[in-house]
Amino acid sequence: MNYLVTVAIFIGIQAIAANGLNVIVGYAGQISLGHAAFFGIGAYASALLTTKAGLSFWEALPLVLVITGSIGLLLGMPSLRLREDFLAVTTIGINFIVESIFQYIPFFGGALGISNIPAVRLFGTRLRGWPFLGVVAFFLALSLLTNRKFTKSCAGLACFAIREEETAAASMGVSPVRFKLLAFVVGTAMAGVAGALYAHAMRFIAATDFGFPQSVNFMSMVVLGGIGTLWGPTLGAIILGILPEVFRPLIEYRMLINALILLLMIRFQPAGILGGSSVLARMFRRRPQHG
Amino acid sequence: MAVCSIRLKPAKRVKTAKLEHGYVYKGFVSSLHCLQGGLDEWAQFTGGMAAKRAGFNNEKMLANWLLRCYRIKSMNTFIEQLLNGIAVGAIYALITLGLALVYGVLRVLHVAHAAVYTAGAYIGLFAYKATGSILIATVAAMALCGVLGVLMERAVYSPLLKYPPYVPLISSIAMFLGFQELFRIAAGPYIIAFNARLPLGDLFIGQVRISAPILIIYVTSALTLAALWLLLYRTEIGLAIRATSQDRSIASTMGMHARNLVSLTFFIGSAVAAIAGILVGIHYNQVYPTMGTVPAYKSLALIVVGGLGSLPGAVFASLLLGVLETLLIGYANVPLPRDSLAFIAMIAVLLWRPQGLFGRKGGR
Repeated sequence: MNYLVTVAIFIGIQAIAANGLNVIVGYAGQISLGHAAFFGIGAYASALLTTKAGLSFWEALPLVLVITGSIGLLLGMPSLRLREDFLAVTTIGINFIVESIFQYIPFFGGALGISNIPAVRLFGTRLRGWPFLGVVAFFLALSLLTNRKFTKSCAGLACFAIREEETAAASMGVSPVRFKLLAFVVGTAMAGVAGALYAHAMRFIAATDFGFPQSVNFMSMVVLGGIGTLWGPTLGAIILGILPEVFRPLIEYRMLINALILLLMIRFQPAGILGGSSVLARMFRRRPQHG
Repeated sequence: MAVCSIRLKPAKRVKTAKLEHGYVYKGFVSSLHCLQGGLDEWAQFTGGMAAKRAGFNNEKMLANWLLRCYRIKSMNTFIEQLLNGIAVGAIYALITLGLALVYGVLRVLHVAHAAVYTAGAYIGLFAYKATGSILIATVAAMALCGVLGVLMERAVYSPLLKYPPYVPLISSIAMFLGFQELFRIAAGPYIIAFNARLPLGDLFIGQVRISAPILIIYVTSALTLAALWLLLYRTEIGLAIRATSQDRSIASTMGMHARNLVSLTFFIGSAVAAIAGILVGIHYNQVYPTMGTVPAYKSLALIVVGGLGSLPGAVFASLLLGVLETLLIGYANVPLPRDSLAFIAMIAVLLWRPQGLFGRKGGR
């Protein structure tokens, strides 16, 4: 049972980060393949604030939000200048650079990473197992709520407009600069929260946890569940989180199966499981009434 | 009179030498520390007697001799480093060219190109073990990798062209990861040595040594680049490929069979990647499943720096990066790993010239 709770905690954490990525990729249409960098920045920020500055998790959290959000703002700048393919490669580059900074600069613990990160406490009790899962679920619900609010708000609509046709949106007075950056800030801040939770759940972090493969992992969740849908990234995180457990006898082939699922999914259902044009969505959609 | 004594620490294998008393050498000693190797000649001068025997009567003479020795040695090291860097750059160029070609005709960031390159190294290795001929191995690897590239294009990329660019990109990453796993499962997770008997020996120009693998890299990549240039710029097929990469629909209306041309481009690019894979395997004497990871993303950075789809840009950026990486690692003490250098360079270039070094403004 304990083991299942741990699995659920990690699924929840990854779902939060995937929801953040969904804001950037799904809502604003800006491709980002460096999301793990922000996940890592959140994790390192929280780990350093709690181990070196002696703050508690809850005191550090707003700072973590500000730090990742502002770094997201800074690193979102290239999206203003670069076209899709350039942006994709740039975000990959950002991921590699951030990972190597964590790995090679002694302040971040170097190759040894940061250990002895305190567990999350609430009213003086250490949260482990079920209670911690509750905290993760709370933040997951918060991220889903934020996304829901975001899609219904003016900012969300502006992002959709930019995603569909940037020039047209700009000519209608929707500032691409403002809303692209807003999406980056919201998305990276969510990754930051997820990173902070991850650091305190693992209690030990190292640079390799936040490499490019993790970015691909987040992207896979979003794509699998359905890009730009509310529940898609969470569903993707659940599926990709449970798969390794189901396929435990085939541990040797786990990565291969993951890659294969992603390939088949994107090849035949690019919109994802919950996406607008997917088989599932078409099955459940009510037929429009003609007349 | 002890003119000078050079104490060598045998445990450290003649890497650091320390000159005791002798103010003349003060500044000189510190520069010795960057001199890697090549101190063997010094080893004889363990005491003043030896120096005297060699005909050094005073400190000044010895100092001059040491300085000259150091200059020649560092010059030679520099040239060797430079040649090494160009070789590394040439390999990057072979990988990146295929990627740039493919990007040109299909506008797809073909991450799985690095899987083709790894496949080339493995096929080359096994074919070489089976036949004992490096030539047959290369041809076999080129042919099979070419087919693999075309399969990827036909089965995955072409049907996905109607979707936004991230769709083929993600499918490419998925293919790359899948193939990497496939290599690991099929050939084992360990490094396999590629002991090829080369038809060339080491070449000496003065005191500069060019090792046989590097020589092979030079010859092969020069020939490949020349052949590609002839093909692309001096034949009708090359003209058609270039036309397709400029504007696919117009090329089609002018009677070119765009679909076949795209496949042909994939075949050529993948065959060149196979050559690169074999060269890397021979140069580092190792073939392993994840050997494509670094080239996969580094070559993406390179085609971006060169200007997406620009062939001369890709070659230029590759050679530049190869040389810069080797020299920076050899001489400057860079705290970051070699592999993140490409991305830092890329971001710097993009901030200054968003269309890349050789890219045209406005053109896709």
